[in-house]
Amino acid sequence: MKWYEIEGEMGGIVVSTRVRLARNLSDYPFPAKLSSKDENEILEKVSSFLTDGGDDGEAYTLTDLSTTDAVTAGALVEKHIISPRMASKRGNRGVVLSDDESVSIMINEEDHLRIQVLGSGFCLDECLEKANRVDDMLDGEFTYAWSERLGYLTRCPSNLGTGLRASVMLHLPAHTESGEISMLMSSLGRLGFTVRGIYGEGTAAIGSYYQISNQFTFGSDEQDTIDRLKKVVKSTVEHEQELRDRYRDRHKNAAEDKAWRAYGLLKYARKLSSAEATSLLGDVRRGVVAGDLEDVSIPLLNALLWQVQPNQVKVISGDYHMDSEERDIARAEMVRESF
Amino acid sequence: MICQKCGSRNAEVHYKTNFNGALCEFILCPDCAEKLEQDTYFGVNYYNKILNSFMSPRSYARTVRCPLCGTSEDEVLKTGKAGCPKCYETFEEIFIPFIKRINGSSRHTGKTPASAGKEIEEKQKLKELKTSLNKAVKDQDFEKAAELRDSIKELEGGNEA
Repeated sequence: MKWYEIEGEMGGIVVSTRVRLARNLSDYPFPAKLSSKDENEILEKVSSFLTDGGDDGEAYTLTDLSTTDAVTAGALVEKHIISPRMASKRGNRGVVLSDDESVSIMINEEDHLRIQVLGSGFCLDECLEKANRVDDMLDGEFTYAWSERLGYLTRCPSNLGTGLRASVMLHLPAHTESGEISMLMSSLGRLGFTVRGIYGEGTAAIGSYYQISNQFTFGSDEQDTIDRLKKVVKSTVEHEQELRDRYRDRHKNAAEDKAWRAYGLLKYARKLSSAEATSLLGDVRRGVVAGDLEDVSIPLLNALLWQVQPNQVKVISGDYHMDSEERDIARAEMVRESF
Repeated sequence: MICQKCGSRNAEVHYKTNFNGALCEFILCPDCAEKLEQDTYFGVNYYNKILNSFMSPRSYARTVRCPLCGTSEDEVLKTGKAGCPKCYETFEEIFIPFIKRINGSSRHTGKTPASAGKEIEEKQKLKELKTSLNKAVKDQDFEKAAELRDSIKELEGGNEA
């Protein structure tokens, strides 16, 4: 079972949680300064250690990105398994992925290693625990670049210290509609968090999906960082629910209508752009949380959220050369079949 | 379409996002995309660009280069990044005040890797033994001092091996 097939805690509003640790091996320059031979050496020894059976009970597979086509790499970005930089970068680089796709280790990204754990819903503690397990396993085999004063040494000083970036993806349509999203962004910015729209542009992100993550990796330890983020996410989720309830008290029919219309379009449309599909999936999601649409499951909506993205559509339908109209038709067909 | 940054090569990478409410859009060639190293993944790099403006050149000669990776001081000031772990020692005068200014602290709190953990533990033990040795000598407890001296020798010898 893949991680996204499970419905997580606060799964209606919190889509997913992600934790990543930036790590480098001592005795090597950072990837930007690595010779091709050293790049290869690191890729080879880290990936074979993991795929030959680490002792954390996960089965790992390597995807060598130096020989992967742009569509497949783009699809991995849409699935949040690799970073956009990783997809566009050249050189010997790869990603090692666990069977359930929850653990990925990027090799030769900005740092030698980026350990990343994804989880469904709100699960910061579980993700950190899992990331620590993988980290300890690699620490037992390789020597990390670390100093007592600066912690884990990374290419960019903004990752020094814990090297930990924790982020939670939230669905915040009521914040967007009420305009409170900009207030949330500026106030969380002052508290040391970053709020970012996942899809689309401007403050009205398509489908109202946002990611909240910690800005600082220095001066507070891993658990403390996670605990602070937890508090912020919890209060954001509570406020989102309040705003939704307030709107529903006044406009119950309109709210119901919007959810059912979105459902109807997803179920019967013959052509869907990724922006339209993303936005409709958001409307349906809100309807599911409110209890209007009982037959739609949150894990299905989570999976569709990335499956409707352009490269995913190509990979899923097996045609890497589709133009955008063919893609819209294939996307609509895939969504229809899911509902 | 032509790359917005270099204005010469063909643009192949198009990225739109919003960061704390502001729209950011790039149309870049793969070369510039890589150079820009836009870690849009976690949205930290716009932030890094602002951070870089906090970095200031220091007093030593401009020709200083990192002995491990060859990164120059100019490069560190320009990119705001280290070329290798050793750069943090070589360019300590640039990095430490910068880290202090940004974080209000210049000491790591958090996880310690297993290998480093052992070293730190030994260092701490050595310090304690030396303090006890000084005390034993002062108290003229020579038997205890001899024992402590042996333990110190053993620990120091172990570190050299």
